Amino acid sequence: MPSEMITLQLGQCGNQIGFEFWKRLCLEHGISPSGVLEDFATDGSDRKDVFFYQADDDHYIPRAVLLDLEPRVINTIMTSQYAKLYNPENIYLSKDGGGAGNNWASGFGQGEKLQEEVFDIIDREADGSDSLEGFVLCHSIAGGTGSGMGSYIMERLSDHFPKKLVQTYSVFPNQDEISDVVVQPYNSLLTLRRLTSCADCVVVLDNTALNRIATDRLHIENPTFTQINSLVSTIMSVSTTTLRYPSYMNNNLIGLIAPLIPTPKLHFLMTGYTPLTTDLDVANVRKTTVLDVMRRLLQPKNMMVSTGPDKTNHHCYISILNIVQGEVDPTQVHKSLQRIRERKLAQFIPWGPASIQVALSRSSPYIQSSHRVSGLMLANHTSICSLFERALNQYDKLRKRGAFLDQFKKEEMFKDDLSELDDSREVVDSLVQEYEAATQANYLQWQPKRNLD
Amino acid sequence: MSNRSKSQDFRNIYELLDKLCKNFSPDRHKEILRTVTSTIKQSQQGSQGFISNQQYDEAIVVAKIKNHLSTKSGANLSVFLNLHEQLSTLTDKNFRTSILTLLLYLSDMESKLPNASKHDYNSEFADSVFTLPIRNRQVEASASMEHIFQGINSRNVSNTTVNSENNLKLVTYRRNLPSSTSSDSVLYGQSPDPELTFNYSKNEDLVQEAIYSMTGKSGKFLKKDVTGEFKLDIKARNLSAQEGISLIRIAEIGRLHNDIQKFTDSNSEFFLCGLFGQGLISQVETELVQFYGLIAHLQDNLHSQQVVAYTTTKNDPLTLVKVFSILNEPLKRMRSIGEILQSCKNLKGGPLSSALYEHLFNGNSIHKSLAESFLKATCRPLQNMLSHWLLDGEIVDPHHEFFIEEIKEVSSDRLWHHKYRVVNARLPLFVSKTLARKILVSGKSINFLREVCEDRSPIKGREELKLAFENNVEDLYAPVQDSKLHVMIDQVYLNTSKKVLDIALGQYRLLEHLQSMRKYLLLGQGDFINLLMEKLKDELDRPAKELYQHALFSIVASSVRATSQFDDGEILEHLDVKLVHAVDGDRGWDIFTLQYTVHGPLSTILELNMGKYQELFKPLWKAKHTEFVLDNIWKNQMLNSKRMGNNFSELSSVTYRLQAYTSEMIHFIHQMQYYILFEVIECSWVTFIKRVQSAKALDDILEAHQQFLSAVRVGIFLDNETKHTLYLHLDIIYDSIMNLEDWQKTFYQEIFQELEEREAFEKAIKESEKKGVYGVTSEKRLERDEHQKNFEQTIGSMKKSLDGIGNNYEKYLNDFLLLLTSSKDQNLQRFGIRLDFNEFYKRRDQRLKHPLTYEHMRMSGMGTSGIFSRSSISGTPIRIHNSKLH
Repeated sequence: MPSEMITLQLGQCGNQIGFEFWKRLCLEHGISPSGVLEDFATDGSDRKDVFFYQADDDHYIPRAVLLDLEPRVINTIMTSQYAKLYNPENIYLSKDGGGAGNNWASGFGQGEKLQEEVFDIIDREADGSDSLEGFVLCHSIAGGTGSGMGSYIMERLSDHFPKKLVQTYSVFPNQDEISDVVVQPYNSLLTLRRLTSCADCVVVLDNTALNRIATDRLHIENPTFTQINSLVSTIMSVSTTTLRYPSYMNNNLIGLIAPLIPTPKLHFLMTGYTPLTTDLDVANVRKTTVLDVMRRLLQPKNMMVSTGPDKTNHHCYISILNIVQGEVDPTQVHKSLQRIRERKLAQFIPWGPASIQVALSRSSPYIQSSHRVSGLMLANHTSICSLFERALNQYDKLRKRGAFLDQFKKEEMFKDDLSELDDSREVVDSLVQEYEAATQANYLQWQPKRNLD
Repeated sequence: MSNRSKSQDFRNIYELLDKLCKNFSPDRHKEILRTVTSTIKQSQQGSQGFISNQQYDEAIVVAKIKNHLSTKSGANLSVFLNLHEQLSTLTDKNFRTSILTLLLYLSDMESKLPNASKHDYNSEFADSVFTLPIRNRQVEASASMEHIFQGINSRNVSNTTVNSENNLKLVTYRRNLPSSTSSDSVLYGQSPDPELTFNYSKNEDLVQEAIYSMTGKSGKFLKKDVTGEFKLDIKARNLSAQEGISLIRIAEIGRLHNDIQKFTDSNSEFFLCGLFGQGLISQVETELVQFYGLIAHLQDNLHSQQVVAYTTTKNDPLTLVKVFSILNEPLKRMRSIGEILQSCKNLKGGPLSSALYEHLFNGNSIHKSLAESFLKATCRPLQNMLSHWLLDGEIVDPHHEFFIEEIKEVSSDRLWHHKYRVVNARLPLFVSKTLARKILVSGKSINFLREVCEDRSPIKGREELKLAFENNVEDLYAPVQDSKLHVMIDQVYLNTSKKVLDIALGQYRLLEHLQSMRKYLLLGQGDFINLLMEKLKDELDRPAKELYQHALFSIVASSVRATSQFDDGEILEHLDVKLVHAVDGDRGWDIFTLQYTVHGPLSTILELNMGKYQELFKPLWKAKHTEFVLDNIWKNQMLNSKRMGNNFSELSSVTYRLQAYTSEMIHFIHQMQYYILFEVIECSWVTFIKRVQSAKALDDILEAHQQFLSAVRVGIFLDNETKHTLYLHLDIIYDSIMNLEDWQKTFYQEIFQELEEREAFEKAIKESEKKGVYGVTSEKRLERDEHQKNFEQTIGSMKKSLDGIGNNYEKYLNDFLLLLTSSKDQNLQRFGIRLDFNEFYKRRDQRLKHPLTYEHMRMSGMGTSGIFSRSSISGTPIRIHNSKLH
């Protein structure tokens, strides 16, 4: 069973979106909440083994490791109908159960302490696969466990599995509402450093954009976590669809992300999805064509990342991959690309060849879609750096005042000095610079202004 | 003829007569019988060997009777023909001929017999049997015959032997005919006073001369010249101009007769060979027999005229003019026959029937009806062949005339494509190519089912079809091709095709095999190929000569098992590894191919395509391998960059260059793969599947499959036009990617060696610091510096070689793009546009700005018409937007 992916779910947010993701995969593959293949799904031509493995008793079990430092979300999962889906040995709850208190440093520290137990689970899971391709990490960058413990695990993963890719689905905090987590800017910055240097591909899930989409596009006044998470699970499932329904291309993670990521640091991907509807919103369904889908995917309002206005209009796409599902007339694809090119609907980098790649994917026969055609865009766009700039700004504001640093200083890492924060700022700043440089023709001559040594 | 059979004939006749007499007149039958037999006896004595019927063939006798009757009334003729037909179903040929000869004699005898016996006959026989009025002696024989037939009709007597019974008397006389007219010298010598009988005998002479000439014999006045044309001899100078002209004209029919006869003479060079020719000859002979009948009739008349001439004056003597007028119709006939036969000269089989077929369109109705009868006769063998072929798949064709040919040397495993073929040269005009193909496929299908599938069940409705074939031969050349026969052939075609199709698709799962071939040989199943490459990498990286097929196969097998959930066992029976012949320096990658073998009936169907799949596999495999190599290059860059961390930032110019080349190549290979696998293979496959779904016959599928393969072949630049341009460039592009792989391997080796040394050096310093010893010796420092310098130098030269690889790559890529954008093929142009979607190359290469790119064509006004009209992918033209550009 080639190209297996192991999913690591960390913290409250990571487990929630992971839970939604597995629910969705079960539906698509015709697997019951208890892991048994439904009668109608026995002759599918899908590849379940990328994300599931088959236990001796013919149960399909997710290749998932659930980690948290406090029991709330995992308990919810374990009391749901999906409780029997997971391998109980893969669920790790910190014994003290106190959580990380939304403190990155605490999460990181606890990660370090618990690493042996955690990596026992991960190693066992990795041993259970024939040719493991990599890890998928689900977490939020703002909290304590997902960000802190996640950061620690990311660092260790690249030591522990130097040949495996690490992809993350990272939830960025909502900028529109005032967070009750005051140290969020510190957490974000510190996690961003690990995402920059330890991950191979980060799919950015921006809560700001997700909430805006829920309110503006789906007309939900106060979107709940579940509603937001169903958006997230859609993105996650569609972006893995070519792995699960293999055809002739993009059948492994590397084939999916290699064309998107030209240089190692520029690996933060935005997503867009269309058509966006909720269950209640059937009337809104329109007759969509491939061109509609591809054009709408290029509109900022459909993007799951809020990048803010690009005043100088210099940002551009480094690469685009559109995963299109549904009744696609193959001939339409080329027409659409032609149209987009002709109307210059997408601005691309000047320093290398770039285009909209299209992956036509089969979709699950067990889910009735009300849309004729739907599409997910995975894009590498330089404007993603505005998110990091925002994070830097917030950090700078907080740091200037030296606010809330006490919590961090309690932890081992920050006992002596706060150089970790400075270093992280340096890395993230350098990342922003690199993204800015990538908009220029001379990007390949670019060098970071200051080196960390 | 032996005595025994003669006596048998007598008995037969006697019994028959007896039976008839009883039938007609039960009380007086013995009396009548006696009269009849005595009459026969009498006439038998007058002529020798009346029963011996060697001299008269049935057809000749029938022709004589027909001629006889036709001069009187057409209705009688048809009555006679009808009766004759009935008679022929009841009696055998010899017997029938005897009866008919008897009848003919009787009909003639009536006018010759002495009064007394005539009276006897009339009073005893006619009174009791027929209401035959007594005739005076001058009544012509034919007249009495006419009455006899009328009598039969009026009484509605269906027993045809009555006919012969009543005409017994009439026939007897006729027997004398040949002997009495055989020698003209006697006739001429008999004339006692030439002066006195001059007019009369001259007329008869001329008529006799005319009659001779009709059979193509030279006479007194008419001589044949070398060309076979009759010319008037010098002796004819006494004849009047009119007589001469009449003779010449009549003689034309003689020449025609000779010409026609040549075709039926097996010694002649014009003889028509083969079964088709035999069919035609038989019909021509029938015509000739009719013609001979006419001659005999004329000769009869002439003779009776001569006999009668001494006693009484004939009312209506046979003159040259009369002969000529009688011959009017036959002459036309003979001309037509001659003309038709001329066009058939040296032809046989299909062309022969084609030649006849062309005469069907002649406006002359005689000509047309003759041609029809000839064509019908000629097509009998064809019909026979067709029925054998269509119903049993057998070829019965001893003279190589049938338009379907079996190639004997071809064994049954190549049956479907090579064993049978349509020979166009033998195809009759009235059988269209489509029809011929249907006929071919029908018979071939039967053979296929029998020999290869071992299915011997007969086709549906075989007997009805056979019957229909036998009764509808004319439909074969019907002007409209929807006659009953055509419907039948269609029916057979559909039935057999359906059966073969059902067997191929059902029992032998043709479509599934084709799907598997696409999946495995055309790399349609990406996950399998990925895994296979992953697993084969170590093996195939080795030199080609070190490879073992069985070792590779076990890897293929395990990859199949890992990726297919349901059908692995099945597929492994067909999938195999083949190593093509290795050339020095080849690596495993170059010689590895996958093969898909089918067994049983499908192998004969698909054998043609295996080579094609082999041809397609190589470039696809190479493209996929290049993608695989690039993926690994990329992956190593990602992973190594993490490992290097913030060290070596001074190398960023090299690493960025490396990464930029890599992403250029990845972009290229992904677009390339998308183009090949999606736009070429997938789109052609969709078309193929549509045609499979609407297929009526196996060949529809095979043809569609063939087209699918050709489309793929063209699509991946293997056709003659692109093989030496695009494909060659592609090869070099792939090679430079492989070079990059090697380069990168060395590059990272150097880096990590340096990194290790640096780290060891730092560590040594740290350790010595811990120990409190003074750091490093200047010696060690020097050594480190030396190493670092070496490293920098190596990297410097490596940077150059990287640029070499990159420049080479870009050079050929630009050329490749130029070829694409300047190609006439719309699909290639589009592909070119896609490869340079953001115009990165166009900005850097002046040449690319000018060729016929999309914009260029649009701006120059060429775009609105035609540019998107031809497309193997869509067929639907793309609407060009003239709205303003942003």
